[in-house]
Amino acid sequence: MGSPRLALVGAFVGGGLLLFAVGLFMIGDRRQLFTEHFEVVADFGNVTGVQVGTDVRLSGLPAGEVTDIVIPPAPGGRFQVRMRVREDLHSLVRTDSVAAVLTDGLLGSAFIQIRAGTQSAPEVADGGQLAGADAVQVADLIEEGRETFRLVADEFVGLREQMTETFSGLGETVETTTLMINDVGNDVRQVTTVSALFMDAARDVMEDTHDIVQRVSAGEGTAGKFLTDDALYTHVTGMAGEVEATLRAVRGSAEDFEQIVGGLRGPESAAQRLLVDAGDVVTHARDAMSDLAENTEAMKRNWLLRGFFSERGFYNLDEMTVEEYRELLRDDRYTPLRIWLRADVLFETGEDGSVTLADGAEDRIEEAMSELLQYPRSSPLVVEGYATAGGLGRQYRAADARAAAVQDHLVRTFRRAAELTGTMPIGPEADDSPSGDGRWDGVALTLFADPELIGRGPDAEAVP
Amino acid sequence: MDLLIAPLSRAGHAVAFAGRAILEMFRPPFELKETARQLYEVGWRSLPLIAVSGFAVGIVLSMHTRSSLERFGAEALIPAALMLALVRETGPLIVGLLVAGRVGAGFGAELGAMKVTEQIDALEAVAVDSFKFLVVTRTVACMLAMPVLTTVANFTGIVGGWAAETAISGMSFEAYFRSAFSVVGFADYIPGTIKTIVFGFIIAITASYLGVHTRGGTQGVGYSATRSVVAASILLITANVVLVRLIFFLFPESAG
Amino acid sequence: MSAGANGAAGVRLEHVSKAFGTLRVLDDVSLELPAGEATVVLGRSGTGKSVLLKHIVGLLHPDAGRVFLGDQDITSLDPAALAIARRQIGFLFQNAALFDSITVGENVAFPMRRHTRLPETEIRARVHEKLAAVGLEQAVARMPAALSGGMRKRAGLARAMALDPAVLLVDEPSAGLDPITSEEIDDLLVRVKRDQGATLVVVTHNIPSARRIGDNLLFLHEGRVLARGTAAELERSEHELVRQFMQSEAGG
Repeated sequence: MGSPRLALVGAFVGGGLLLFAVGLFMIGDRRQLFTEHFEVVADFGNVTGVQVGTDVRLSGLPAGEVTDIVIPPAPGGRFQVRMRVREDLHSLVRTDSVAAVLTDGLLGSAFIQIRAGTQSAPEVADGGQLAGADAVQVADLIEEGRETFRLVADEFVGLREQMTETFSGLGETVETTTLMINDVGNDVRQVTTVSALFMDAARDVMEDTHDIVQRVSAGEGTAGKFLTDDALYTHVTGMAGEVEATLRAVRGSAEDFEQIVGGLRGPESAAQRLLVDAGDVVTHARDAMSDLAENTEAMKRNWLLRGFFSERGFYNLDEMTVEEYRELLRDDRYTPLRIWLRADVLFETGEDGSVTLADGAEDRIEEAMSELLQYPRSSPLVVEGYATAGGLGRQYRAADARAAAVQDHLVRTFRRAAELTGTMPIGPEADDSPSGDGRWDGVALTLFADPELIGRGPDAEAVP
Repeated sequence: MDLLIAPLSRAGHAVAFAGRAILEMFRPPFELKETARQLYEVGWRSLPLIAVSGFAVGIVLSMHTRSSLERFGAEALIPAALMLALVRETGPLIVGLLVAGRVGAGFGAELGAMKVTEQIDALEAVAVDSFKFLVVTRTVACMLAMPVLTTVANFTGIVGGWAAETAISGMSFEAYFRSAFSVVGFADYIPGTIKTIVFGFIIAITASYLGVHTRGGTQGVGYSATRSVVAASILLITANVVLVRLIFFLFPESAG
Repeated sequence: MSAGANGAAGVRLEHVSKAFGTLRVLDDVSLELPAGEATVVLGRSGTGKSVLLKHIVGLLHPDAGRVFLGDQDITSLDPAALAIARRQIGFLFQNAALFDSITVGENVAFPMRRHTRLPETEIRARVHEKLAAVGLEQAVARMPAALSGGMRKRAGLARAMALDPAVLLVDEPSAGLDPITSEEIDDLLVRVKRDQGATLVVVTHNIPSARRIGDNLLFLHEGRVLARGTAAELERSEHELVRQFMQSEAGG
């Protein structure tokens, strides 16, 4: 046994140990075993995929791991998850930080995301408690918002009753001021009508929001991302706040009405002014509501209805606002060919608001398509949805449903490529509609054809 | 009756042989020089075989995991999936079987030849405990070499996986390396490596037992070598089943 | 015991019996191998000659009876004590049984390294001396596989003599060798016995070889000592078998 051989044996064993240690270190390093850490605790109702050793991230940054999961003593209790977090991130973990169980991609493993707290909140103590949020909790949160909406609706009903009561009393007892009552009555009736519309819109928004929540909690779309996006989170919580503010304003107007009725014999001008104010309040409320409707619609577009065009790169309908779409129509790189179809011949609306194609609709669509099919099938086609009935939210939803129904029919019956057949719910306004009043109720099939091809007219490439 | 008793008594004999090896391992004198010499033969000289095999297996595993994970759009998990497969099972088993082939045959033939040419008697005649000198040294060397060789195979496997990956996606080695370790836990890494010590014991004991009990001259030597490889491989693979179960029991995290 | 015992020790067997399965190889054998003399054990193949040698060195344990090395009953020794007793014995195996993974020189040095604390230079000097005694000093660095049969046997003898044993056991010194080489080995053995004063026990069925080496001859048949005496005495043995055996020059 020569000594060089002995050296090789030493190198073999030593090198092997070193290599093994490198592996140990890599694992230990990832698990932050060699850095200082502190402990936090969060409770979760559901710990799917979480186990001891599960990664903890702080705003996406690897921050530590789960050290223990304490099982609740009784059903309905919450699982207490203990986590070890890197000390150098301590300053970001505040008492108002929220921990949530998320999943890394479609196939990825579960991890716990801690959202950095706000500047004003104190740092969480070692071993301290964080709020634990899971998907279900977000749903709960929005459920609360929904409750608020219901409250709004109830308040409006109450307001209406109050006013009706007041004015019917007014009509009976005060005959000498008939003229004035007529004037006031007209205004009040107008306010009442507008209030009813507002209530409608509120209910629509409420339903839309609920729809989003259900889809998110069912795992559609980018599951979990809902919570991590602060803007969206604020939207949802803010929505409830807005509705409450509106509610207060409406309450104020109701009180004003009572004052008007109470002081009807007062100076005419004062009563008139109050009525105008009341009208303004309701108008503002309506504006706020339409903002909400748009927000909800934006959420649906952004998070849930990503689709046909997004990957193909022609243009992306999902991230496109109605305004941007209108600009696209004006873009001279394409020549949009439009065929307008009226809702009353195309659709049947079920009692639950569902939209289906009516009996004669297929013929009508085929007739329309026979014109468009003269152009290459590779041309993108957009089904624009229009609806005039109801509040803004209802209009949006009806427009969306109509466009979707027609798009579905086109894809199935005419073998249109789904990625080249988009939908665009627009609402009531249609500047160049054949009705001439700038509104449309129905759909428009818009083909974005190559201007050159249109210039040449139907050619050999056309498919009948 | 004899049909049943003969194999049973042989099995009992082999178990006693293994038990004696374990006892003698801890009883002086320790044949350190001879152990080092065997470690050189078993460990150092197996390195090229193990390193190249690990590299090749890494490439193949990478290609397979890519084709499966690509379907789910989970290409980012390729290094981790490869590393997990290597560290938990593929590395230890491949190294075990390669060593069973190379070293098992070597032991079986060498000890068989020593037996039939009376070298084992000669050892005893010069007052050397042949069991300690031949069997225990080889067993210890094998038990030391296996985890080292497995670690080497794991690492060359990663390099192979990276080579296959970078050819497609141009990923840097550091990124690949870090990503590979992103899901591997101690419970995957340590038991997977430690169990190869048991593999080493099985290989050395099986081959030594068959070698030392060689009969029938030169022909018997070849027979012992072949039998050593077959028996060691089968024992190793079946023992692995028990070991995996045991590891899951001792380290529940590794079952995830 | 350090470098082995100078001066011979006798070997004595008392009522030794050994059977392998149903085959009785030694049957109540009692005999005395005098110190410092060369005893040749004769017999037909498979009559237990090698078994007898292995009993003396303790490689085999008798079913009954005792084996004495000098005054020591080696059948009653534990492995550690037996290992010490064995250092007094040199054993030259039939095919030399050189360790083929180490050089000739290392083979000879092996017993010294195992059982003495001699410094490396001293070991080298002794290895050279032992190899020179068998005429192999040139082969010190060669591997056993590279040696001829006669050279292997001589190297084996050098190794057997490494610790200057009191008893030298030789199994079939002429097996596989041509007559001239065989004669050289016999001469070596005689010289070793004379120079070292060791007790020599040689198993063979080569009659010329036996005549050259043996002070005493033993004839083993069916597990028993059939005849014993000098070569001349055995030629006049009352047993027909022994006389026949002694007359066949080539052996069986």
